Amino acid sequence: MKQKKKMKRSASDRILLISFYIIIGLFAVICLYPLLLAVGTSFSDEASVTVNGYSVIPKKFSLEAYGMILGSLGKNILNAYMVTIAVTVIGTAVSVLVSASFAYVLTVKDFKMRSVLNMFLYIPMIFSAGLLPWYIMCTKYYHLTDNFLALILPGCMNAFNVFLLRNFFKSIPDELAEAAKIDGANYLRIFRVIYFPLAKVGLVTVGLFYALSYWNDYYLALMFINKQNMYPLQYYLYNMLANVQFIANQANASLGYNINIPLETTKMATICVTIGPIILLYPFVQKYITKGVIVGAVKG
Amino acid sequence: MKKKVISMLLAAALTMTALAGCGNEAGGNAGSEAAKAEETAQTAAESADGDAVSAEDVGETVTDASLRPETLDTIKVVLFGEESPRMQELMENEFQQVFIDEINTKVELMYLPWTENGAGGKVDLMIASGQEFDACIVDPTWAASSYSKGYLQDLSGVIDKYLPDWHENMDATAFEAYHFGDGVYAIPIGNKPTAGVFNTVCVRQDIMDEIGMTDISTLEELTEYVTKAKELHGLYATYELSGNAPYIIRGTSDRNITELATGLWIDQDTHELINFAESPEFEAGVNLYNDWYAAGLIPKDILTNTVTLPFQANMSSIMRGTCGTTLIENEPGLKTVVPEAKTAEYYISPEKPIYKATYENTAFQVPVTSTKADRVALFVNLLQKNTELANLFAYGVEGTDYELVDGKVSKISTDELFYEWMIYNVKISSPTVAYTDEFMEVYKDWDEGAQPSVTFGFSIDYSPIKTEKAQIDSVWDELATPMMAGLKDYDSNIEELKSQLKAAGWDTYVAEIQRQFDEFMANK
Repeated sequence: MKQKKKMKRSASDRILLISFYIIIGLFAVICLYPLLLAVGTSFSDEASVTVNGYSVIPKKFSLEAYGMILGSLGKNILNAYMVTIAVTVIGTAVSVLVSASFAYVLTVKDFKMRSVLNMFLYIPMIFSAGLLPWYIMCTKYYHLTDNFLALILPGCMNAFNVFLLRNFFKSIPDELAEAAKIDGANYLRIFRVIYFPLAKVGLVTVGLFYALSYWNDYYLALMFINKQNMYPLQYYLYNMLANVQFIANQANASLGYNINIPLETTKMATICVTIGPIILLYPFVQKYITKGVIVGAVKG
Repeated sequence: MKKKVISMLLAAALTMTALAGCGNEAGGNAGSEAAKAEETAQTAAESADGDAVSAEDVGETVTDASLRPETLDTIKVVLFGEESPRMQELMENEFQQVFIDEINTKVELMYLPWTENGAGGKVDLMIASGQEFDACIVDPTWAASSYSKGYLQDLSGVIDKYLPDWHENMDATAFEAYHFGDGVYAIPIGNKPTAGVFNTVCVRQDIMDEIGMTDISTLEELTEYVTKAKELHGLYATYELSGNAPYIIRGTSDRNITELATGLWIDQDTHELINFAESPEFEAGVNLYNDWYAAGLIPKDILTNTVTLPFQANMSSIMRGTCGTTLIENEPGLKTVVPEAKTAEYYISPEKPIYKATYENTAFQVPVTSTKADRVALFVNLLQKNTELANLFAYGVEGTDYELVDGKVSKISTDELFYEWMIYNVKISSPTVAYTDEFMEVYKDWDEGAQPSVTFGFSIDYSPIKTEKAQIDSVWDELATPMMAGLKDYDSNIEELKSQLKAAGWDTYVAEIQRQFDEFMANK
């Protein structure tokens, strides 16, 4: 009798397992397919895309779109990459430091102004004065136009990430801090030696969120950067696509232009150039993200 | 002790930041004053040379040495797109020298993406926040919106004085599109034939030759052409909707009607506003497209297709014409797919009058915050002054960036400089080698016989009827568009369309537009 029960369970388990694999496999294919389409189309030539639409395997292989993006504009793209990498690295470091410091202060029970700081953090999440006051403040009062800091400071502290870090810090037992205090450590030392190392998972998670937002950002460049040599990658490509789109849509416009501008393939090549590094980086930081997302959820 | 030190440090830091802010401005001012003193000394020496040079350059045109300001100043001009490497080079050298020699003004360019071209973009934000710049390109719709927000400067004062060459090479009627209230708020630039834009039908001349047709002047002939094109080459007729194809509507009746707003057309002769959905022209257009759809001439995905340029991709046999420029616009792309293709434009009902609805779509506006409107006017004047300068700014330096072959421009460098389509003035600009002589003959006189549209210069302010417009646009998209694509027939759907338009606030919508139009006509 017992043996029969065992077999039944494992059979239904197996069926369940197989169906899970199938469902998740299908889901993975659905997620992967657009990406493969983008890659395939980026290696096609414009004429066959116009006639046949997007395809995973290009009907006619061509490096036209990449040639257009990287060719005479190769130097500009490289410059844009440098700017983006610098902004991402420095921005992430600054953001993590600022967010972690703020979050730590919110967890120190002796600090009387904690609730006030909480309000400063919480209220802007809900209410905003709008675009114009923010723009006036950044350009007229902080002089952030055409300034490298313009790409970092406005996005430096994200309230949501600060709350996330605060929860991480709260999960660290108070006894550690008390013990350190008794030994004569000041708050800065406690933060540096105890909290910062122990919340590594949270810090990496938040760091990755910040890194992604800095990498993908084009809005700050659109608002504040006018010099071409300071354009970050996303803004540079956004600019280029907007211009290509404009030229293609002009009814009466390009008198004398007899260049066939690759539009669809250019868009796809742009996508590939932009997401390439992130996709390559992701497998290495994946475990931190999954850990980070669930740690905050489980208490203790 | 520690607390004292820390509080002193904090106070010092606060004072430093405050002083640094003031300090920069004061330091900056002193610096720029010194620079200005140097520059005026330089320009005093230069202007003596400059006048001599500009008199030579200009040749027989009136020398505007008297208009050339005595002090050197800088204007900041906002353009869209990307500054090409060659443009950067020329702006630092040859172009800048011309600007200083001719108008004693340095020009700084600021480029924004094309997505910011229009109301609610970064330019509006810059003006609203008081950021300094002196000019930006604008089109009539955007100018109307900016004027209503008080962003633009009245240029009536500078127009008469600072545009001597402009008035020779441009038509003053072009100002009408930027005439709001009592003033003029932008200076148009460029002069291209715009009569009957989208009123011609662009067809495949090679297919016409193949089937032995020499002309298309009626809708029946057009139907014959598209049917044969389908039989012989499997091409669909078009991907354009009939309501959006004025060249089709032209052939549906004897009335001279043009589109004014969504669902609202205007009779050019009686100045009456017409409910397009209730008009016989709409019925005829819808029926024509339904017949074409039944004959397999309209693609099933006409409403959802993602093909950017079907005519150029050899997928359709007709498309809207653009004042005869199909040679430049469509043929290059088409020839990569069908090397022996040729195109031509025809007017359906050629005996009907042709209207010029726009004179120029591009102009330079000056924001209210700028104090250099006179210099901006001089700058625009310079761009339209004579052939030599117009070619310089659009094509570059002769010999380096282009060569003249039989008086036509053959480009060596493909970098974009000042936009050709903005500067091109059919009176002074040299055409490129892509324009054949016979094309130029037709193109130069394209506007002859064209009448200005009665709505020229009229821009509708939708703010009092925002909701109605949104609802009507949505009804039109949902119900009328499939009819105009041939997917739904006229008889079973027209009543619903009419009643839905009424329910969406059609009467309020039309009343307001009628009121604005009457006001516009009264002020003419």
